[in-house]
Amino acid sequence: MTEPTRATVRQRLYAFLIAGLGGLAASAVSFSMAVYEAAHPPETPAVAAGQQIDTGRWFVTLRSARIGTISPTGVPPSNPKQLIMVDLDVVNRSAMPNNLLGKVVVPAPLAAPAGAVPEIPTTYLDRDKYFANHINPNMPERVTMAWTWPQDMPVPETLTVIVKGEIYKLRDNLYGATGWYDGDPVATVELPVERVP
Amino acid sequence: MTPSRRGYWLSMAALAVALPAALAVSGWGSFVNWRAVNVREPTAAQVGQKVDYAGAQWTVTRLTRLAGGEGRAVVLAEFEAVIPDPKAFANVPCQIGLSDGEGRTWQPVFLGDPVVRKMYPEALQRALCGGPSFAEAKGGEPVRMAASFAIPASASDLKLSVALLSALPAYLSVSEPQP
Amino acid sequence: MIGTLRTALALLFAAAVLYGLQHTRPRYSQITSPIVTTGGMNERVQTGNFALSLDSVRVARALDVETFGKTKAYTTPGVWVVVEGTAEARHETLSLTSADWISTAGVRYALTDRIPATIEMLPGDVNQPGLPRRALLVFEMPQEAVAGGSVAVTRSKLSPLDDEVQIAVDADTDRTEPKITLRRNNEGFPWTVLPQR
Repeated sequence: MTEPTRATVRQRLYAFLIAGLGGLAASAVSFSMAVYEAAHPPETPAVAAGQQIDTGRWFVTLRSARIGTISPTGVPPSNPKQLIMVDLDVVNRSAMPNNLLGKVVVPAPLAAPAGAVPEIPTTYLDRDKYFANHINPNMPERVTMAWTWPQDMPVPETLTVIVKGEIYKLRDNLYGATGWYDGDPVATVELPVERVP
Repeated sequence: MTPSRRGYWLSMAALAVALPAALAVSGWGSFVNWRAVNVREPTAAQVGQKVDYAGAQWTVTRLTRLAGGEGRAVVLAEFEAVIPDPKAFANVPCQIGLSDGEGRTWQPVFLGDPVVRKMYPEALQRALCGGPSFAEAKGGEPVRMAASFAIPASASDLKLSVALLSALPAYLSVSEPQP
Repeated sequence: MIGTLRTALALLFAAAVLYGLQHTRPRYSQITSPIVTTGGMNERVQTGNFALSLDSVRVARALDVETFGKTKAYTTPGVWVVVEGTAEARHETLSLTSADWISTAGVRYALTDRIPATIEMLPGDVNQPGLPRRALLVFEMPQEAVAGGSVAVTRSKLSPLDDEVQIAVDADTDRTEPKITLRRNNEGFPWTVLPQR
């Protein structure tokens, strides 16, 4: 048996250097790209009320916004609080029923300083004037989403609603499971806020 | 044999020992858990017999089958425990079950069956086995408990089981009295 | 020269193998999917834990729910599908908490959560071994999801590799009724589907 030829020390040093420099260069490029993207966020298009927006998992069409104390059930609450309510048409485009509209439709003042107000809205099915739970696939529904608006926060003349996209992944990075994942905002919609009781 | 070859074979041999050992060590916890859930050791008793279980004295006072109609039967179990140290029992979960000769198991029904309500209204006042009923224990006074089950009338060889999580794998097993 | 060529070929081959592995790998949802037993209408379909048979299916454009003398109308952009059958536990007391309608396109429609809990559907039932029990399933879906659909029932949505029964329901879409009523009975059999047929 012949001894296998071994690389000289010099050759091995070169190999180490090239691999190391290559790796460094790759991470430098990736880091600077991330910095550039953070400095230049993509412009989210402004969409007019009444226009259908494709978020991936949903089609949403924002209709109107109002502020008041009586929820769409029509039952006055025992301890009144201000609710900002947004009427919208939704179609679930996925293959499963779900009730995660709150991840997709977010009023801008609530989105910015997180934690200031509860971010999870209550969704009402207009058809029943009652809570909406699951929205079935391919069944267009008119719903009203209601967020509690803090009493000490001024009520804006117009509400900016951010509509977020969701991305379908056949395999996620952890389990290889299929699912919907948060994507970039796809649209912003300005809605005049009407005052109702 | 060169020293490097010997080292190679020694490593291979060590692997043959180390690999099963690693599997055994990492699997031991799961095995213990599995055994805790699945292996049960009955403490057998008869209806009316006093028996020590889980640090208390238990008596199953009644295990009767009531006609439920349409091939259905209702089994009423009444039992009591004298608990010397109620504090130790306050948070112990308790599982009641009924099994038959075919290995089928039934869990208690929540609301008293109409048949039980009519024939043994007193049983409805009793709580199921568990923390709240134990908490009412006062030294020496037995805690009275009851459970009812809905089973097919054809089921035979019924056994009531009372299991306290603190006493597992031991559980109390009481057979239906044979006529 | 030949050495270089051989290395290049080996690399290509490795890449091809990896690509093949990536694309034939079963999805996480397939690895952890329930073990399905299939059957048809009026057939006792049995798994290790439970048995289910379905014997009645009715399709209607509107649903009235009558409980304690009050009637509420439930409209829908699609149709209501009311399925009845018999469920039985085999070895231990259990509840069948998950029931979905699966359309031929593979879209799932969950049991409706719109009608009140006073109408007890299959997930709320406690099934005792040896005691078959009548089961009610109410779905809401678009008209096109009815034909060729099947009902999938399992103990829990969340337990992988559990038993699932799938029954092909041949719903007759030509016999879609304008409206059916679901009445809660205060004594005797828990519910009635009206008009009787």
